[in-house]
Amino acid sequence: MARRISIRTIIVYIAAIALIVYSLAPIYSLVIISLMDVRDVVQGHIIPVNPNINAYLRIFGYDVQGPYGFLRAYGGSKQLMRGLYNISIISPVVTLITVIAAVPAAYSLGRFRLGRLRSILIMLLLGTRSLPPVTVALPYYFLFTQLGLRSTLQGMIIVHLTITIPITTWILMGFFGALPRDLEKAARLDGCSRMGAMARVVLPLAAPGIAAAAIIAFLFSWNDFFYGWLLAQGTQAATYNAQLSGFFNFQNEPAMFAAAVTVQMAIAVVIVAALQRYITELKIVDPGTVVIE
Amino acid sequence: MLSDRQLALLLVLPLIFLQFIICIYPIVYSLWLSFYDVKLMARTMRFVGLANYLKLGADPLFKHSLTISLRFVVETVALIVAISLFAALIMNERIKGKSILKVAVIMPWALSEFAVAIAARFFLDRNYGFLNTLLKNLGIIKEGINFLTANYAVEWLAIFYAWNVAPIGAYFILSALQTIPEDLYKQAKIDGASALLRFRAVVFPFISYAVLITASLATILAASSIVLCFALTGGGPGFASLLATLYDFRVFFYNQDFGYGAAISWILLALVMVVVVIYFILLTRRR
Repeated sequence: MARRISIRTIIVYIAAIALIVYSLAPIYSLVIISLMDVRDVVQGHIIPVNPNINAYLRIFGYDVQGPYGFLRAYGGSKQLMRGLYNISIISPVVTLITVIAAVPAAYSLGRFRLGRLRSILIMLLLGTRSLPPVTVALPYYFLFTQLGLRSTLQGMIIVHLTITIPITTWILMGFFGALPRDLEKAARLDGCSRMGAMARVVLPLAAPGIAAAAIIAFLFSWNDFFYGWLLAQGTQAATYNAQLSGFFNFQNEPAMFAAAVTVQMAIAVVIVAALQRYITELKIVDPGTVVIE
Repeated sequence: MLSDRQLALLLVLPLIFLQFIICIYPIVYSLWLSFYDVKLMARTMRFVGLANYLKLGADPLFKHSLTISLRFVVETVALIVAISLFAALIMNERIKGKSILKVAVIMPWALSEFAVAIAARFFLDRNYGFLNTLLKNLGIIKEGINFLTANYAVEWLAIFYAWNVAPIGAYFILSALQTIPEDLYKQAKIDGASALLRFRAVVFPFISYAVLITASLATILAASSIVLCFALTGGGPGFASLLATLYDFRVFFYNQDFGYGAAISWILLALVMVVVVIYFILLTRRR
């Protein structure tokens, strides 16, 4: 008996290690390239040789003395830092507005008896989220040019909201639907209004789900390349990701390109790693098994 | 005093209304544009009726890009469902270092599609890429392999897209797995059900909804995907990995053939909507 269990355990551990390697290998390969001089990079290494942070210093605008000689700062450093500043404002604002807008809507869709109307509303949300970005690209481009929003942070925020609000509403809807109803009922029997019960009983229970929705909204905004590049490239409002496309002309500088991507990635990775447990809180249960009352 | 129903509508309608306007505008604009022949240089617009749509039928590159997209979406969704299911089952085991495993599994999801493309480029590079270097060090190959060939570039796009998106599916399925009552599983074991039967009879009913959500999200995301293809293969070599979304983008912004691009947009929109409706029916179908 004990023997049989141990064989199964070994297989599980091997699978777990394989999963970890599979998940981290491309990230590892990107990071080690960012830590090497181009002369070492082209040799091909799986463990960094002469590791240094010169590439990071260069994209932040410093000249450095590398292991093989003097290296000039990245020419587009100023624009890149401007992009970092822009996205650092855009993403938190998008996250905040998304939560404020999505929570009441998701509460309503998840917990009220709405019958067919509910299906139609969910369909609208899902449908609008499903538009391939390229199909709305040109109309947005024209509209934003006409409204003078192309070179503004507000414009970027509006575009991101069109994506984050439906997706978080959809996710939170299931979450609200699955919360136990007894407490809310009790609060209402004790004289709370529906909104009062929502604020005092449901919202605290829903806090982990709301945190997860906020992470998803933040990540979308922080990771957006397409809209930032399409609508704000070459303007004051260009995001960090949009500025990264400038490296396409620097093919012989893999370390700087890898470093610039790593900076963007590192912030997202830290946030996800820190708040990862909230994502497990999202209960993706069949809303059909939940009685709406 | 508002009734519950009125309150519910009050909470949700402003949002739906806003969303509707934001999405209706580009759709209607595209539709209108697709009936015109737009000449940017001459600044003229000529009504051409359905000519742009008829042109689609005679455009071999459009048909080619559609088949490439179909191949990409099918492969991506299959990979995402398989990987997320596998990862969820492993994460649901009682093992030491589980939190490390869970953090590692979610990591690829934190990357932007652009970062995935650049990481994939360095990972697959013919000369100094990690995969080639590893294979060389292990003595499996002597010369670097060019992975992104005309035959397999689409598969590499699918592999890296699945690498990026599967983690969120794994977390969805994991959260469903955790709702299975321990007793039910034990009882099945005592009754002598085989591992396969236990999975089919006990586990699957609990996770089928999460799997379907994962599959629908994966389909919608993969069908809309453009940045990975743009930044990893650029649609190449030649047109070998040109997704329909990237083709549409090129028609818009390189050829500046706005009317024709809008027509392609409308075909893509219609196809995605068909998929959304199918998934919606599956998701809301009640027994």
